[in-house]
This record gives sequence, C-alpha cells and structure tokens, in this order.
Amino acid sequence: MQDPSTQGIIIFIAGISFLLLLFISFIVTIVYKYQQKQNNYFKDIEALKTSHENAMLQSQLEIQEQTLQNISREIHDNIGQKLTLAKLHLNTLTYDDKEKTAAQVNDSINIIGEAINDLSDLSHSMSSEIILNNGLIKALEYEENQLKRSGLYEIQFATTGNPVYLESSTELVLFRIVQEVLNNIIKHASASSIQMHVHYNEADLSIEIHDNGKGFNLVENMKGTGLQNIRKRTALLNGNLQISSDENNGTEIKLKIPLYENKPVI
Amino acid sequence: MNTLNNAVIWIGTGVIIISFIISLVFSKSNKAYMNGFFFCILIGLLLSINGICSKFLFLYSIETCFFIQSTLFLLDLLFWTLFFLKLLKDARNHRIIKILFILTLSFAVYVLYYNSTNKSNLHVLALLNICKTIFCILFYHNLFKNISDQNILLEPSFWIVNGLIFYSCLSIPFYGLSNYILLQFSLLIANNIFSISNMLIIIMYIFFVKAFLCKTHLHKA
Repeated sequence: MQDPSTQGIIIFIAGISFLLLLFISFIVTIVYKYQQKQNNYFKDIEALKTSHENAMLQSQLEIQEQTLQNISREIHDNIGQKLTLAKLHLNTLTYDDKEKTAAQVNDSINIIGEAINDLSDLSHSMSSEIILNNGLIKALEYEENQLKRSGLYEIQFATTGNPVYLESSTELVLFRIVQEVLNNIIKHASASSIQMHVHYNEADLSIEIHDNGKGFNLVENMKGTGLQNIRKRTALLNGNLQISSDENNGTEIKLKIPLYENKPVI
Repeated sequence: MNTLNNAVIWIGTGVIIISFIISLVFSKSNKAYMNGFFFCILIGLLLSINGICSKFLFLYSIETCFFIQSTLFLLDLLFWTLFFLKLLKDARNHRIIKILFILTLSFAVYVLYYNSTNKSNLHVLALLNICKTIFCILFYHNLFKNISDQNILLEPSFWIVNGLIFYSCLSIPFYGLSNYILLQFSLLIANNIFSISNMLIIIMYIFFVKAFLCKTHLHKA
C-alpha cells in the first residue's frame, strides 16, 4: 500500500505525462494536416501558374499571327500599291520629253520615299523592340506621335501616378490591346479626337481611351474578333475591361490590371 | 504541507517571471497581435503573486485575494478577446468573439461579484477557459480555411494559441469538477490533482516563450 503523498505524486506525473502526450499528438496532427493542405495549395498554385503561362504563350502566338497578317495587309494594300505605281511611272518613261521624264522620276522618288516611310512606320509599329527597350509609356507615346503625324486626329495622351515597369510580356500584351483599340477607332469610329490616359495606382494600372466617333451598338458588335481579342487579353492579365459606347456619342474603353499579380513568361 | 504543490507554484512563478522578462525584451514586433502581449504575462504574474500571498501571508485576507483574482481573470479574458480580434481578420469571427466575450463577461461578473465572492471561483475560471478554447478553435478553423505559404512553426500566433488551448482546454475538467475532486479525494491528493492544472499553466508560458523566440528567429532571417 502506497502512502498518500506517493500516490499523489504518481497521479501528478501520470496526469501530466498523459496530457503532454495528448497535446503533442494534437500539435503534430495539426502541423501534419496543415502541411498536407499547404502542399495541395502549392500544387493548385503551380497548376494555375502553368495554365496562365500556357494562355500567355497562346496569346503571344495569336499576337504574332495577327502581326504577320497586319504586315501582309499593309504591304499588299499600301506599300505594294505605291511601289507598283512607282514602277508604272518608271516603266512609262519615254526619255523624249526631258521635263516629263524628270517629273515622272521625281514622282517615283517621292512615292518610293513614302513607301520607305510607311515600311519604317510599319516596322516600328509591329516590332516589340520599342517595348523591350523603352517600356510601355514610350511605346504609347510613339503611337500618339504616329497618329498626330497622320493629321487626322487631335490626340491627347497623359500619364499620371508613379510608372512601374512591368514584365515585358505583360507590357507587350497591354500595348497590343491599346493598338487594337486604336486600330478599331481608325477603321470604324470616324473620330476626330482621341484621348488616352494611363494612370498608375498603388496596386493597379488603368488605361482609359476615349474617342468622339460614331460609337457602336455594344450588343451587336460584342462578338467581333477585335473586341474578343481585347477581352481575352485583358482576362489573361487578370484585368477588368469596361466598354461604354452610344451611337454618335463616341466610345470609352477602361482597362484596369493589377500591377503585382502578372508574372507571365514569353 | 504539500511540497509538490508548493514546488509547482514556485517553479510556475519562476517561469512566468522569465517569460515576462523575455516579453519585455522582445516587445517590439511587426505583428499587431504581439504588441502589448506582455500585459497577458503581467496578468499571469500578478495572479501568481496573488496566489502566493494568499498561501504564505496570513494577514492577506481571502476576500481581498478572491477580489483581485476575479478582477485579473476578467482582465485576462479582455486581453485574449482583444488578442483574437487582432489575430482573426474576418467579420464573422469578430462577431462570434464579441458575442462570446459579452456573454461570458456578463455571467462571470454576476457570479464573481454578486453571487459568491467569498467562495472558490474555479467554476467561473472553467467557463472563461471554455470561452478561450472557442477562440482557439476559431483560430484553427481560420488557419485551415486560409492556407498560405507561411511556415506555421515560425508563426508566434501558432505557438501562443497552442499554449493557450493546451491550458484552457485541458484545465476545464479540473476547474469544472473542483467540488467533486475536493469531496472525493483527500486534500493532499486533491492538491496534487490541482497541481496538474498549475503545471498546464507553466507549459502554456513555455509556449509563449517559444512564440517570442520564433519572432527573433524571423528577425534574424
């Protein structure tokens, strides 16, 4: 028979040991379960990242394809026509009438000069070099100058906030979105004024493009390839796109993308 | 004289003093919930000193001891409520914590100050510990709901909540069945059984020290 004090100590030690054991198992279970869930979380993140990278690659390929189509169309419709005209001028040189011949040669020189300028513009516009070397803002400024040079539009471009350099692939997709919007304005809007505003917030970047053209019916034109491309590329950048347009009241496009969630690869 | 019980009380006071010093030394933290954490340890220290005074100072009246103890219990609950409000961010958890706090506090104030000031307040302590256990369960629920890339073993909150749930959950039967234990066992054995709950407090403070050391580990990294 043990005395009460020994019995008490045994109860104490047994009690504490049991409770500690119980609690250590509890902590181990919690940590194990948490790490299991964390592994699943990492796997999900990895899968999302891979799918994002695939979508980005897909988009890059589409952009390349579209760029080639644009180049081909420009060469065929514009530069090709000019060179054909220059060739025609040169083919019809008679050399009898020196003044006429000189005028024809001068015309040909001018036409070839225009074709060279067009080629240079096309090359700059389609190349991603400007984005890679100078960033999005410089590329947009270049687009602004191009439009100004055409003399067809009154264009205002403003940048506010503290510019942040994004991944070049993200900037390229953004630039192509803006180019698509500007192309749509040039082709369909019959606008005389374009306003572009880029604003860098702390967490996101917003781009607003507004024209005073004839506008369009959103419901009828929503499935157009141009708008679909814009939507798809915005979604790829985890962005948010708002288009508002009234017939004869111009169109406004607002694009917002998070600054720190886009880490795509080319 | 129960030497085991006394040894646990003195060791406990020592551990609380050490953790209080550590909490003061590492009081600056980038974690909002860690700011002012030494108040919790200060409350524990005062509770311990109050217990020692009632045990060894014969002039220290039992009424004064119970009054101070009850007030410190309520302050402790208030501290943990604020701690979990800082730790858990979503509105639903905040609502649950606030409702639980108000209900527990109302009941505890009624029992401690208007009903049985001179009797043992261990039943109320069991109730307060149930409340704190629920707070801890909310923390675990939140932890598993919002999985992130953080290493929980380096998170002070994980160790603090582990320590708290260890003490508050496992001590509920001791405090809840205090009358039964005192009736069924001899005073010596009953004291030894209550020493187990005091030991749980010591282990809880060791977990708090671990939480502060986690913080220094992070600072070095």
